Amino acid sequence: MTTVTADTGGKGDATGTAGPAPMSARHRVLLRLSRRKEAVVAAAFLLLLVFVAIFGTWLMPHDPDVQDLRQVLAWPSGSHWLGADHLGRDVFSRIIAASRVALLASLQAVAVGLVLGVPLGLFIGYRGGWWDRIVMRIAEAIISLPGIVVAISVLAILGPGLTNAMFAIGIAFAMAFLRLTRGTVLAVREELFVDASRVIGTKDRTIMFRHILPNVAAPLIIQTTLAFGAALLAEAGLSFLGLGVQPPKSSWGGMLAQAAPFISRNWFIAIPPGLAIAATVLSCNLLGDAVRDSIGRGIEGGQLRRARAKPGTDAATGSGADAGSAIAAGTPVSDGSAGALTDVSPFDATAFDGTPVAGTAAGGTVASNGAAAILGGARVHAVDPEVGGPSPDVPFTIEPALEVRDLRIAFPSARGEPVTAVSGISFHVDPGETLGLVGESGCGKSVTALSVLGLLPGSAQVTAARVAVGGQDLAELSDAQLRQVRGGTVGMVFQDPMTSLNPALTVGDQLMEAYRLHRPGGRAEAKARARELLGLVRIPDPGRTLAAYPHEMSGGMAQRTMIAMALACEPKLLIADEPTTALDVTVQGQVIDLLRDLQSQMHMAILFITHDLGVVADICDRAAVMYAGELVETAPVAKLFATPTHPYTQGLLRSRPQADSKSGRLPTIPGTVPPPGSWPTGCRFAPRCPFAIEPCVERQHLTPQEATHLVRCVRADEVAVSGAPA
Amino acid sequence: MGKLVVQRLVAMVPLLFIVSILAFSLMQLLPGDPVLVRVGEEATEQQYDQVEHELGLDRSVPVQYVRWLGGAVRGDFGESLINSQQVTGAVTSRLPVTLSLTFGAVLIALVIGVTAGVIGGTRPGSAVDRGVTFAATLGLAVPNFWFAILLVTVLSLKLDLLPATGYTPIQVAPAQWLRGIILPCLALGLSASAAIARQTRSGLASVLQQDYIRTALAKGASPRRVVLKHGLKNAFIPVVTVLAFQVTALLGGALVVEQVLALPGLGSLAVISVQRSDVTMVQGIIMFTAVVVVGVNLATDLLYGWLNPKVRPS
Repeated sequence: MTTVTADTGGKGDATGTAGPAPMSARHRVLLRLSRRKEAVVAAAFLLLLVFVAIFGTWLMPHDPDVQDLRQVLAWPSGSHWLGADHLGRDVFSRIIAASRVALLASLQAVAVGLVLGVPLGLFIGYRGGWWDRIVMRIAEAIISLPGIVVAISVLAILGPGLTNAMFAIGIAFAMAFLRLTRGTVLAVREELFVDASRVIGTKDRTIMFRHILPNVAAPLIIQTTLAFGAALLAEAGLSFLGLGVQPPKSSWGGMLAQAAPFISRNWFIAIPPGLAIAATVLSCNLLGDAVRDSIGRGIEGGQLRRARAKPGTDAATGSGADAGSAIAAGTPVSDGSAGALTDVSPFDATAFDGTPVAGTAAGGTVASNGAAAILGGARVHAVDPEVGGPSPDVPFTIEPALEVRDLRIAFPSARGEPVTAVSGISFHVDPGETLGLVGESGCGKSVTALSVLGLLPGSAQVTAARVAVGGQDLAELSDAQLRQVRGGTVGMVFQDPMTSLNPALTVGDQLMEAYRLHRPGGRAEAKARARELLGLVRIPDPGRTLAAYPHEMSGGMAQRTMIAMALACEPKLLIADEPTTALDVTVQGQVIDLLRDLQSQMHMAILFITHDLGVVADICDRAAVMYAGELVETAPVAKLFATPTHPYTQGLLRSRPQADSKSGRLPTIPGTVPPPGSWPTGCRFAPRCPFAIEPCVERQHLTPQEATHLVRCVRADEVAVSGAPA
Repeated sequence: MGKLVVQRLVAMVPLLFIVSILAFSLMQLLPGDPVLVRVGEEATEQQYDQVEHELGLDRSVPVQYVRWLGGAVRGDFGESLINSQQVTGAVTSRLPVTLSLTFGAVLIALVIGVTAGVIGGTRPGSAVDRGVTFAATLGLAVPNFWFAILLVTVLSLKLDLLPATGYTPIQVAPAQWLRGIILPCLALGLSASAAIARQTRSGLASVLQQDYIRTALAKGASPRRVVLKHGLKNAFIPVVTVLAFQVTALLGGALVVEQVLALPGLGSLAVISVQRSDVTMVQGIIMFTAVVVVGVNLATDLLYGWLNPKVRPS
């Protein structure tokens, strides 16, 4: 739960004293704001506008109302910098005079909106009940109409005029402010039921008002800034129609109305008023957007955003955009009423949920690794193997299904120097066998799996001496050829089936696609194959499943579907990236049994990524243990469990909970995994290793204990075999 | 989906009902006496009573409302307070112009906005993307009617490509109708296309970072297929929300842009009605507008339901 007072507002203390005193939230926001160029420019422009509005009288070269009929519709000249209008009045002076009107008018409208909307919103949010229902229905009815129509209704009663027009616009604004405030009150009320102070017994009302104001301040400030721009546009429109400011007084909109009939004789005089409006509205919008982005996450307009945690993400996959999930994964708040779809602030027809991802002029700070990058994924670059590099594997007697030699993966980091996540690993998977790639979170195993098919973001740097599937080096393939391999020769299953399936398409559609991308034939054949596949993965009632959407399935069913999708074209290799981690334990067993059966049926090789040694024991023939970006031990599974040689492997095996364990505490490996970028130069496990000795600070190599058992430890021979408890 | 339609239709009724109450109460708020306006200062008491009875203003307020509502449901919104013109007739003769303008602008906004948004969203952070975002930010700040004036200056006056004013109904000469409507639709569609471009861009950029996009790529789908089939359907969900709001705004904007090009739509009727305090006419305009808005919201609700299977009633 986001804490209510954490990041928004708060009383100002520690105003900018250098040193240990923390900055107040307000100060932090201002600092962030000042770093954004367009916000500074926008604010400067608005300040200039205020200045001109106040001191304009002294800046005008001419009296704005004086008519000079010799200068009717004059073009710009020395005496009339922006020309003269149809009555010979100086356009430049009139623009300046109108700036005061613009400012006052917008202020009026926004003030009316705030004064009417905010207290009413507070009231109905707090009281709830019939008050809430009735007022909200009325507000929605008003909001559903175009603003101009609302203004026209009010003006039909009050008569045309600037003040009346701004009052009318203010009423429309009030509805938006009302909804915003009410939303915040409701959100705060909900949090309060969990809040400790209720337990202590503080009065509800006191808590509410202490909490509401700071939370509503942030979105209100943003919406008010945007509202200024909207008010100006609305006033311009109404004045253009003749319903706003009445001549001889003028606003920019009024000036446009007067210039319009004469554009055939002088089109220039229509430019300055429009530019003035556009520039002012632009500044308001830029400033409002910048304020929104600077305030960042928090309660925006009453929608508490939940951060989505990605379980076991490997180092820097570059997609730090949890914010993005708010749009796609979450649906907009819909309270089911007719106005639900217009649950948007009228000032702000753009990023309605306030995510910083929304493109402001400064644009996607988040996404430069993201979309385009994944579409143009990082391909493997072939490089010659390092001289004196890892010792070569025993030469192959049969072509392996997957051969990876000296794979290195690095990601760009904030500091500029790319950070290595995987530093030269080599392994192979024989046809029909299952290799387990085991390690804890952050060791680089998922990234390894993704790199084979080129599914890492384009900013990732992937190099290898060889990455070959069925003998074919993938680095030699064109993009189109690689697409044939994906889903065709190599199938892939991902960790979280609920997010890995497209929520907007039926299961059948996605299954059929997997087939039709590689096999000729029509829908009928694809459908039959899809049905067949569902049967293969033991999903009952395939007909119903084909028509279902992913959100209608359980996790286990969804993962079976993913497996079915991966197997659609009978691949020779299946890469499974922690396929059971997101599932219930009981379902895990079923899925693993399924995979094992399918493998023997289809004589398929499996690269099985996991952190769970139990799973390794269950399904894998061989296992490769990964630690901090490199392999530390590779062995057939039976041998690995019986005689683990690397201290890390031993530690892993020892730390598994045992049902019959006699000792009180669960043994753990002391210390933590070093993150990429801060790996020790020698053995990376040395700092945590109980057997570390002097030579461990040097670079270690994988050395064979036996033909099939490789260990990266200088003491491999001597280390006493403690073995894994049976 | 059928259930969704019915559900939504039912939800619309209370809204229309409340709008009708609000519209009706306008009459009550009008300062001055509409009967007097019609009848004149010199009228006798008899004439006054007669006109009052004609206008139905001699009954109590709730009764007046019921009679008005009864008429409204049948499509009869009474007469103008000023000149006994039938309100329904006056509004419906002008509604097609405003609607062509509005929906023409929606179409243009969708085409331009989505295209620009896709171009930007598939290349986030690139120069093209920054250009799109900048253009969109600019487009949101420019007044529609000013843009219309600029377009008229360039396209009509300077280049003589399109007519500057005037409207030909589509039944009379479709080609002329199109030529007359394109310029105002372009002008009106500008800010809507900017809003749609922004939302499409940010929606697409974040959708493309989702896991299911990676799955689609792992199946061997081409980038084009991934964007068009997998990406857009999901990215469109927030766009539809923006669209619903934009159509409403466009309807209002149409009233103003019409004036630039002298189109005989609701805009000029509205202006005159305000200036003369012709409240019955304004009531009619409000109700017709509300019906259009409700229709649009219904359509977008349905579109939303099609795009996002999770909100369909199961």
